Amino acid sequence: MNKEPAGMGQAGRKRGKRFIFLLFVLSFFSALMAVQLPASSQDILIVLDPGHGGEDTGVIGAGGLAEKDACLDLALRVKKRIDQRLGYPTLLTRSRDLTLSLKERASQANNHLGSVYISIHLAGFPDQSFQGFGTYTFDPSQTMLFSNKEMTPTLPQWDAQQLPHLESSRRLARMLHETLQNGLPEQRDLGIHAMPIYPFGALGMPAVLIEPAVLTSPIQEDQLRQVEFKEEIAESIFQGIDEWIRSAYPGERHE
Amino acid sequence: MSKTVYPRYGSFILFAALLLAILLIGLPLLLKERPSVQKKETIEEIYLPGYPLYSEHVARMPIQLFFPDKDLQMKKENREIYKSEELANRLRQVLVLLLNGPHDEDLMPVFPEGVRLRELFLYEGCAYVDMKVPLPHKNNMGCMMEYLGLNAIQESLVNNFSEVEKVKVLLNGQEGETLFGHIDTRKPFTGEVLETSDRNL
Repeated sequence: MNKEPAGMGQAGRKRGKRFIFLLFVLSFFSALMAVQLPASSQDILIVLDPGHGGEDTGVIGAGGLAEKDACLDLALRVKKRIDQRLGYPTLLTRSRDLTLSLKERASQANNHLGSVYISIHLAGFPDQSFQGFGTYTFDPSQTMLFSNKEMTPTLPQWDAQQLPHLESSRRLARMLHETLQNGLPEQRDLGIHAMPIYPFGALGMPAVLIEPAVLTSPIQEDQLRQVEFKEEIAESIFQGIDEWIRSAYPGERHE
Repeated sequence: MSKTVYPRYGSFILFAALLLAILLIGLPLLLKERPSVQKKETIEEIYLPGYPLYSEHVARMPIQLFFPDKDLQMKKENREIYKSEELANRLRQVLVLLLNGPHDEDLMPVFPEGVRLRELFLYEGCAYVDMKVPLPHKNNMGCMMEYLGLNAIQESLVNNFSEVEKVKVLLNGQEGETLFGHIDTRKPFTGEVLETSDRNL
């Protein structure tokens, strides 16, 4: 009574076995390839965040240069270097003049599982003689973002994603700051500072904000219009990122 | 004759009726706008030193304002305010002086011109400072300067008045994420550095 289903004779069973064998071989090799490739090389995603944009101009220099435009210009120069010399994927939070909330920037970086987040801004001071560069990283101190020593967030958990990365962010800040010091030796060093930057608490990856020049200084505004100066800044930022990847992902292929 | 005259009168009457209707609807709206403009100006006037934050007959008291110097370090500047009966009025005077800027040329003002105090009130040890910022997205404030500005407010209030433990900054009458796009203002500033924080960068 065990009737074979139609079309499933000896030959059909053989074909089925072959198919299962083929599937097994394929899945074995794909698993092998995944193991052989370093997990990190697939994971590295560099997020570049050009500050401000759209309606939000940021600082406007006396000569009319807007922070939003200068930041995008610098970010594109850094991206070009990463593409050409490292080959890792980069995510620009904006690649044109676009109004983008701070929350949306963090959301983009988290959704794409960014490995590192570099926010590029320019400084502004009431004193026009002020020049230089500074590097900033997240610290929840001085605000009530966290309620006690155990660092219980007083805001939704979304805002506490930076906590496991505080040390890495500081290391990244030190590295980037050092490459800015080396790349811009003529400029004043405004230091590395930790402060409650928004929305850095929500970033689930090492993150820094850099201000490589002061746009309210007419001298620096002129410099920021010159390709040579912009290239020096972009190269310094690139060097900092490269150095950080070397230390965070040892054994990776590098330039 | 009458056939050619009446339609002209008719269209004239229709036009006049329309004009009257527009005036009747539009005039009250125009009149309604005027008092609110005057009211806004009055609110700003209140916070100019002189009226009604203090009476000139009351004694003066020393205070210290905090401004950053050229090395971005917070420095004190000794000043005086009138010892108003209401504590909030003393705090308001401090903020007005702070926003007017330092006397010492080696110190920097903390906020750009046009940023003013809109309102200040004290509730359970927290000073709510409502800042009037004309164009929050078009101010020449970088990340560092914004941070220094918020610290200057917090230190100038907490260090002069034991009743103030923390400071919450509001933007144009409501809670904001930041003042100028960099520093988190969703929670009050305490000035207290957490033990878990390594600030030696």
